[in-house]
Amino acid sequence: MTDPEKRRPSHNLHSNWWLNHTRYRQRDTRPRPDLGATWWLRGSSYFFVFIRELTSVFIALYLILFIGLIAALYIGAEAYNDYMELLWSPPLTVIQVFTLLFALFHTVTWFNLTPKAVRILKGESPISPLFLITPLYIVWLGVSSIVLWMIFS
Amino acid sequence: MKPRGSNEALFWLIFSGGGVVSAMLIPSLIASTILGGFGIEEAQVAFSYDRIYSLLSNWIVRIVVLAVIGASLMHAAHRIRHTIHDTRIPIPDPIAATLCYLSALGASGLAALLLAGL
Amino acid sequence: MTVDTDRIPLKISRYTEGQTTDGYDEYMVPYNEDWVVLDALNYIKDYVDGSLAYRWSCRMGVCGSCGMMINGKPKLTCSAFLSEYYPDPIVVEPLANFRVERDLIVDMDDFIHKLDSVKPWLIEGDSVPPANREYKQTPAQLAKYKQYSMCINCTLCYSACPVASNEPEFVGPAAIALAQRYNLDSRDSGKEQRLDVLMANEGVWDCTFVGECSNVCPKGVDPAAAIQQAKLESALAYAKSLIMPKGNK
Repeated sequence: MTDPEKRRPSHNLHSNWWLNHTRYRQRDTRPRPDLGATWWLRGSSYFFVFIRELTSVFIALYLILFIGLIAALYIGAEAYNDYMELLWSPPLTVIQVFTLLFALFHTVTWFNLTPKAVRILKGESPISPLFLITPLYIVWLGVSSIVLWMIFS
Repeated sequence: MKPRGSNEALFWLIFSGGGVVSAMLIPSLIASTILGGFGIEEAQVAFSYDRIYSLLSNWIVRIVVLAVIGASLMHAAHRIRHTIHDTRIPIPDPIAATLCYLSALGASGLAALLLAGL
Repeated sequence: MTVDTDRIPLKISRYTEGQTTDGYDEYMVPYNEDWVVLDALNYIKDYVDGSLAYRWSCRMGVCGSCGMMINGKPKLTCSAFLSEYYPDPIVVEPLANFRVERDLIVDMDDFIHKLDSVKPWLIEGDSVPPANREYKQTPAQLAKYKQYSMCINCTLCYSACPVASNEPEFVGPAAIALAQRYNLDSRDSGKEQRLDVLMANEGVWDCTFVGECSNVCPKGVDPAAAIQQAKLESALAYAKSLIMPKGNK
């Protein structure tokens, strides 16, 4: 039962056996037109997926700024005040506005796509994705309120 | 002991966890640090050295902040790695993956050291 | 003959083995409001240029053999009406991300091998019915996999997928959706065998959830969701093999 050779039909030599086939086929000289490097310009649905992936760059950028804030805090009051002046300067405020827009886009796409990974049936029909999406937004509002309350109260 | 299937599963689990964490917490975090930039005085007072220092002197807050940074950076690293590949930026995937994950871990480690030393 | 009808230009990709340059031929086809692109291709083949090669069969979105790129988007030509494009020209090309066999015909061998690798058939196990008796299945059990069983193997999803474009080895949307179709079937016991294929890099992990496979699917299969569900199962099986090493292999 646990012996993999016994478990597979005899014609399957290896679980990834199709790879030999496709690797062999890569020497094929016939054309294989593909979507190219700029597939994300092929329509709005591709483009929004690309923006969704790009949110990670802005989230990473913001987190570097945030680690800078902790570093300034670590160094001392003077360094911290200088750093906050920099963080609130017009150029970095603009950058932060962009990171906020991208972060919000990440939140919306992440929540809206979460139901895709789980499929729950009620009887014979799938439950509405809203049953999963709505609680996520409610938790998000709660968590955001706690964060803002902790910082600003 | 070799786990079953590709180790990509591990990175995907971290990516997914980090995705939830950053979706939940990053917007409010950015909103908090942005307000001072619009000249809102209350926001600038809230971010005074003493207030933020005392807020981060709480160990639970420190751990939560570190978790948010680490999980979100690993999430971002995974996405950046795959975007490099999907858009055919000519960096071989093993190199892109190593660079992305190591920078995320390095930055998180730095944040951990800084937070521990506050 | 009756009065001259309106005409619509079709720009069609041509290829014969050994040809090294991209070639297109342009044809003017009578415009009929109730014609689909496949009707236009049949008109060209019957009255203008008999050398044009393309695949088709049922003309009603069931057989899945007439998929082509129409103005850069994968579509079943039997379901794409000329009126959607008229009076602009229509560019017809073979499905992207496949080797071109001739003109608009692509080589499906790669896909067939990938499909075969996920064992898209019922694998008997503990659920074998008594001899000479039928498998019993409730409507609720049928509902679990029915959506994924609607796949007609037209491979539009492969042509829409930037990952399949970059990674010729990626098992791909339709094959993974069909793996899920059998994994979710109460009569099947082959899930562990299919997981071996899905858990590889070329299985579910190449996918970055672009989701265009589901947008172009003419049957509403939603392969993108099937892949994300398979990712979750693969990740759980991976975690289980770490926690309980003896349970697997």
